[in-house]
Amino acid sequence: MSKYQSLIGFALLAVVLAVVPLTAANEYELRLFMLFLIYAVVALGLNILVGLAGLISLGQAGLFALGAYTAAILSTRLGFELVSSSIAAIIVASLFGALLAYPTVRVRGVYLAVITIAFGLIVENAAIEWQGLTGGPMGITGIPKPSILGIALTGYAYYAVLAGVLVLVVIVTHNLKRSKYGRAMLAVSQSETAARSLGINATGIRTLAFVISAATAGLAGVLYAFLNSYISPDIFTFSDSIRFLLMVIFGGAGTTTGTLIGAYILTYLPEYLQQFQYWQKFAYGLLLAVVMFVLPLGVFGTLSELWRKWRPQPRRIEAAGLPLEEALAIGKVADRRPTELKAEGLTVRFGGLTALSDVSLCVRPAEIHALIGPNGAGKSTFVNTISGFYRPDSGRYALNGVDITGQPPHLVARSGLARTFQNTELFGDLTVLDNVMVGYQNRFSYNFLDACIRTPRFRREEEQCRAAALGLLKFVDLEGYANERARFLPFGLQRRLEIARALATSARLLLLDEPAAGLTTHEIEELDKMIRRIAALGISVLLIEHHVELIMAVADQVTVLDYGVVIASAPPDIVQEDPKVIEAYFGTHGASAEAAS
Amino acid sequence: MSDRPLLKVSGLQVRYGGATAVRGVDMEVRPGELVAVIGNNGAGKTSILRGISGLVRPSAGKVEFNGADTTTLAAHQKVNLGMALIPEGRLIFADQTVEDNLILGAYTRWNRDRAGVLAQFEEIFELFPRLRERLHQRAGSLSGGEQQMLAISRGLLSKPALLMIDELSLGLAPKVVEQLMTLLRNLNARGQSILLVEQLASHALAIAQRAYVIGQGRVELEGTSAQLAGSPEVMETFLGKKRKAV
Repeated sequence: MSKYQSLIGFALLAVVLAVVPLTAANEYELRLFMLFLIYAVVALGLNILVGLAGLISLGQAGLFALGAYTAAILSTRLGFELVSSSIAAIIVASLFGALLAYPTVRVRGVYLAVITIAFGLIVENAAIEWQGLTGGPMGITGIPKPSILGIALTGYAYYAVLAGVLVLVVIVTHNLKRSKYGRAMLAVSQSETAARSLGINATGIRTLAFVISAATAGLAGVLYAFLNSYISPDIFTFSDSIRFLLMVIFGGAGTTTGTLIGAYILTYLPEYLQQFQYWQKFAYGLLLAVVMFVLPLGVFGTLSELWRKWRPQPRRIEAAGLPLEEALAIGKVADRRPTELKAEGLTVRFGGLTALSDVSLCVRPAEIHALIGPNGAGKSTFVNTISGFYRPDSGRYALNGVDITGQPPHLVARSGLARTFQNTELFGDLTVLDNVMVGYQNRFSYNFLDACIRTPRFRREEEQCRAAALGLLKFVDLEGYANERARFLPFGLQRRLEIARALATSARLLLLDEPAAGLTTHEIEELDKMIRRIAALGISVLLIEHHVELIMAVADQVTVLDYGVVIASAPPDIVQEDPKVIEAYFGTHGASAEAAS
Repeated sequence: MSDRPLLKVSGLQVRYGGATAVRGVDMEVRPGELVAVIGNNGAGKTSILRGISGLVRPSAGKVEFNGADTTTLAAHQKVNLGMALIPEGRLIFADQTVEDNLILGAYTRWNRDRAGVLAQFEEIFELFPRLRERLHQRAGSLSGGEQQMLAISRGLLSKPALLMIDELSLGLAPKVVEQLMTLLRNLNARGQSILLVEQLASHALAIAQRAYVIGQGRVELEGTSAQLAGSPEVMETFLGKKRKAV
């Protein structure tokens, strides 16, 4: 969404928030609108979890309840006011949010949904059974009127507080979405493998998303408790959790406007449907089903998708990128020295199958080293092992003498090893430019707070990163596609995008897994130049490839694997003549063709 | 070779949202012919195959198969008529075993011609001994190249009247590519009609009778393989300047 559209959105929201209290006919109408403001806060936080991080929570009412009960207990027993109980509730809810994020290390999708349902049920039951603290089924009554520093918030004052909180949450969640944190969440949800290989701590990012959604739900709970001055367990049931999730999905997950629309409709709809009496629930269900069938991406999600089709944005971004050397040098770069990779005695077994057996390989600084071998020889296993995805059964590997054996992928990436993927692992729904910007993730020094309020440092670094990413796109000849969603790129171009994204990580060693697959001869000549240019910049390259001409043209050294064992390691012209290699790999035709060239 | 085309594509147009990937392509495959399609990345080759096989509905144009209009049929209906596509990028069933994947490839034949299927299994294992070794392994645990072998085998097993292949050589070792090209040549010699999209143009032209060169969603050149292999434009773009005698 452009800056212009965001501004219109904010202006519209401000007008609505100012006009509604003036036009509300009675207290009931105003109160209903205030409920919407509170629910919208929950939904906006949940949208970060669902729309960005791609995780489902069906226990949001539990977090909402934790906030409400914290405020109710602290205000009735210890005399806490609005601000102090909000802080306490946010802390309590966030702790439980972090706890809820822990299972994502192991489970996703429907399994995670079940765990969050269980969490919601536990909170609901604790509220019923722990009578000494929560008042049991009768709940807590007599919550004092909201006040700040002893000043009671009567009349419209509390409305102003709610409206202010909503505006704040809208701004913060919207800003987060357009920062490195939002991009990292989208990246993790679209390809966790790729995100980790770019140095993103996937568990950390998912925990952050859970904590944000928990903190907002907790805050909304406090606002609710003070609005209602009475809370009981039946306000925080499983069906309320479903309603919060529906608000996000109904409006359009991932969009701020859509979430607000969803929260509005699902707050008001049950009220309007009351005139249907016992048909109310039926009409509610039917309406949801029909709308989701007709508008599968939610109300706003589908409309903006149609708008995009009707008025497609230009694929190209008209802005100058940085020259390659500068694009590679911006931000925090740990180590600029040419890097040596040394693997010694690597053995990897899968069950009974030995995929790699005592493999040693050394990529010297700024060298182009090719790894070839028949299909199933263990080349990809080697790459997946040294990039941290598999643990070797024995052996070790080091970058410039620093042992990184067994480290998780994101730490390996941060040590300067970047890779591409044989079957391409792009973030399909992000734009081509954003894919590269995710690669730059760890070079930023702005923090969470900078991102929430868009400080000058945030703007400066984002601007610089954008220019650098455009520079890398120019290097791989994709600048004409910068604004296109990555999944619409033809296969061969997707591979080049992966190279640009890997370079963005301040890589000192680049692993290219079959970069020439699916390229025409002309395109392979371009790739040839690209690889030489990368090596000339002092970046070592480990190239896995089947395209013999390319290997012979660019490689300084060739290592040949067969059945998990190194059968040759020498300069290309020597490997080419090796009878073992001809037998295992080139085949008679290939060898004679090469010999003739 | 009969003159009536097995596949006749006229004015094919494929659009994704606002973008037009294929802009009016005419193409035909006669019975028993092996036809190659070459072109740069982004030229629209994959989109042409998707349009023909029903994975995406053409926005204009006609796809006739055996004289019948099949433009609007769904992909599975076209498979039943005898048009099979081996898609780009190894779309195998990762959680099932190699054997199950192969059996699913013969889905339309399994009940009527089990003996034939099992005999063909043997042919496949002769070609790809790796698949026999890994028959009861989860397909997702195969290496990339082995997955490509599986995808090709699965397509062969549907015994289609027209076999369409998108990027045959993707990720395969030179020796295997060579074996596969020989296999296709032999299949074709036995009367199998094949439409082959392939980046290794020299290999494709070596076994095809005719070929189309695609650029920017249109047919830029067409002719016999010998004509195209001799064309300076094709040599420059697809065969490399340092082209060697094959």
